[in-house]
Amino acid sequence: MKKKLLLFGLIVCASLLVTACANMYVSGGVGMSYYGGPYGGYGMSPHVNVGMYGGGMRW
Amino acid sequence: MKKIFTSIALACMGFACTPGATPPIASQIGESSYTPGRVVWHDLASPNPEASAAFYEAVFGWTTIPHGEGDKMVWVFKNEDKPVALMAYYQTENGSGEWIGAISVDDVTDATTKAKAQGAKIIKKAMNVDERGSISFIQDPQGASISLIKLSNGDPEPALAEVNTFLGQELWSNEPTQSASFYANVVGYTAEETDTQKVPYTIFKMGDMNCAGMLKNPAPTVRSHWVPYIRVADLKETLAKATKAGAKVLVEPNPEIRNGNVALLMDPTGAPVAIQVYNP
Repeated sequence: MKKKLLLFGLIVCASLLVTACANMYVSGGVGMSYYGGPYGGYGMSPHVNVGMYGGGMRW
Repeated sequence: MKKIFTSIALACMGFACTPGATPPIASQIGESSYTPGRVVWHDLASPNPEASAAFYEAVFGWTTIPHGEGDKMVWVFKNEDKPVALMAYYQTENGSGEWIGAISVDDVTDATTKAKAQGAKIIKKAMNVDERGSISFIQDPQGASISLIKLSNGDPEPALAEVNTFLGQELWSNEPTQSASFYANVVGYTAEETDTQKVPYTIFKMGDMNCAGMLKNPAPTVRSHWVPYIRVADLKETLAKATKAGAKVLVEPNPEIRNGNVALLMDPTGAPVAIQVYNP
């Protein structure tokens, strides 16, 4: 009985571990280490040189 | 007792083998053929999915469909029932979000290996994602975030973007020459320089097909980055909705700037996005 309980516990642990792995790639990006966007937080006000931007075409 | 143990164990293993809640994307956008080089998908890395969803729903009329649970939850943005993008939560270090375009490539593993050899940082190595295909996330040598993808059901058919969907992507590079070399090696782009503009502008091409644009980063203190363009029907109306929904306007519409058809925004999480009226 003790062995069976031990085996049962191992199976449950293994299943939980496999579950964690099985769900890793739901989005493709979840879990990746990511610093954040180029402009920083919303409070930032990056300067855009409209002369450099506005002169370019849209492809 | 043995039967009970066996049943519980089998149930646990069954639960373990059940794939995560994967949104059906590839089957809804793929058209069975591939067009390598095109930006065929978009992911929004958001530190605040609730705020992002509210913004894109209010401005572009998208619906937001949640999938999964807990910290693996993702959201699909739909425009008139067709998926246009996927959003995932990221606790970013600088607290801001970013749109990450996905460039179609023949072989994601091969392209990612080339990217690494060319100096890119591999954020997420090539992997297979249910209902999407093979995908990797990288930062190019100049720091711009992009992903490489091979959708499992083919790429969306090349066509003029519908209103309130992605029109294209533009790379704002601090080192355009190096960027052109990088994307030529990794994706296979040829860089066509245009000399009819006030400032140098590069078109990334695959054969005769225009895939993306590139210019010298007009935000000089900011790292290189890709700017997504969303096609809108009315610039002023969309801009009014965007500012009301919490966007910051970085470039106002101006007749001197691309014929007054463009505005550049920061969404409420700080992700840059351009809106454009485009009626060829």
